[in-house]
Amino acid sequence: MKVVLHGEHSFLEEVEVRSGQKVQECHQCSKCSGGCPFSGVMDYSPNSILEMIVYGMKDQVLPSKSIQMCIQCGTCGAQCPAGFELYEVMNALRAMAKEEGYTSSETKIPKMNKIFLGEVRNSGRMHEVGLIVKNMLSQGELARDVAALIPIGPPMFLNGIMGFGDILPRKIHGQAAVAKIFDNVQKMRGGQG
Amino acid sequence: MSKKTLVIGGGIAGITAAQKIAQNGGDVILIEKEDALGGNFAKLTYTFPVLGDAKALVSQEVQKVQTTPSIEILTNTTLTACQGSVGDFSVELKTLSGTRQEIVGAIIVAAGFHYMEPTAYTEYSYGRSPKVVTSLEFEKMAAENRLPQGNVRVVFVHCVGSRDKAKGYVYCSKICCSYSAKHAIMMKKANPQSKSYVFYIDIRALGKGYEEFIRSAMEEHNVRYIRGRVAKVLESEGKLLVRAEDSLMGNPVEVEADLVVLASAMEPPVGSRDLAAMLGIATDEYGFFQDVESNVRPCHSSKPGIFLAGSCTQPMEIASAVAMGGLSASEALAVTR
Repeated sequence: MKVVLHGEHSFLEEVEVRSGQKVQECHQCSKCSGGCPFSGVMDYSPNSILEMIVYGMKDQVLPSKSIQMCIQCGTCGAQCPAGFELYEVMNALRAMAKEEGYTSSETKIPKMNKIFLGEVRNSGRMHEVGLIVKNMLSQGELARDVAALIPIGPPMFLNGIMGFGDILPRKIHGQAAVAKIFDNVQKMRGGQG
Repeated sequence: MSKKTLVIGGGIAGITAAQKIAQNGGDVILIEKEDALGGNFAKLTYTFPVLGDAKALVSQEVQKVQTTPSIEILTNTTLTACQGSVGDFSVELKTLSGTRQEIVGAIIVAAGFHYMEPTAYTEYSYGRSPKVVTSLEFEKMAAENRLPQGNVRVVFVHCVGSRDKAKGYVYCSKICCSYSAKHAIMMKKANPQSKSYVFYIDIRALGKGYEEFIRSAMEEHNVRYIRGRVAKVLESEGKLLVRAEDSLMGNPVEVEADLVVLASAMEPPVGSRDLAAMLGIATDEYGFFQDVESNVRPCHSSKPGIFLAGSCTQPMEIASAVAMGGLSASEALAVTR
């Protein structure tokens, strides 16, 4: 017998397949949100995101700030009584949002993610100074960002945490191989970055 | 056929079973592995939902069995071997003075339960901070008048080890909602200046007077109930910081606390699987003793002539353990007389 599922179930099922997590295992105790270091700056708390998935609220979930704010630290998963890895769901949601062209009210993080990956592609590794400078230039709040950096940046040089050799990027030996991985991923995704 | 019944465990279920058998003309050997009768009940200060004096209640029951001639009490005693079948079990008991053989017609297993040690919950600072205690430790503090004094905040955390398949047990321990309310009320009575907070997922108060009891904690004793499982307890500069999400508001919440009480899960008694193997009876996936049919044969083990009573079968409150003690006594009498 052919089973036809209601339209509102397809979002839940897609999230479950892509994240490898059973959303229905959640019993809404909200321990994930209590432990999440970023739940205070999210528009919907992590446990609410799960409930919204069950309700099929795709148009609210995918443009949300919450899915962009998750830093994949894994605290939610480590503490979840259901053994559920919520950060994997956030990851799947972010990918779905990007693929389906949803734009988030949180624009800074997607921009920074792109710069971050560009750094890794070009140097084969993360280049902190390059990331910070390019990110500040792209976010449109240069004066504020520079002011915020003054108490942090110079002391790092003075205390020897960073040296002048760190200012310019250095490529790793296998940089070309890393760039090839990026190109292959781009091909697999049909040209999308 | 022996007319004697062996009762394993001197907690309230075992004590009740022994009393009922004796009252109806049977003979009992009551064994207890600790040096005194009373079990977990004897470690409590108050009962719920009526705040009864636990120590007075249990000692009254202990005294009844101690003064009944047809009940032989053996403390510091464990079962070391068991053979035979209903009406004719041959058991070996290890006492302080050596081993001893007995023939009994029926056996009642009333081995009680164990409070889980929440050592796996490093996020709650248990074992690291002396200000994070289990509910059982809270009972001891209350009995010894060591509850914090002055303008203090006390946080009670539900479901530590219960309803947690990652680090504890899938099942609900059933009584923690009620005893946490009891503790919050006890705290308020011992120190009216204190403020109590209870973090819950949902409140399970399934018993006569239980819902009213928990409502009274909120309404009469001003205990603040917050819906959300506690995520973290951090200790800094002698204070505890409790972090959770208020899931009704959808907002993070922090409470600075002086004492955090973890309602740890009720788990099977230590060594329950070994005891079950010795008796030739079944346990469930957790190690609780398995009834043969849970609706109409709740105290029948998987072997005829061996009966179950109390919290060694599942988490339960005192009243249910007493009821089950009585039921197992009548089942034992039916096969020994």
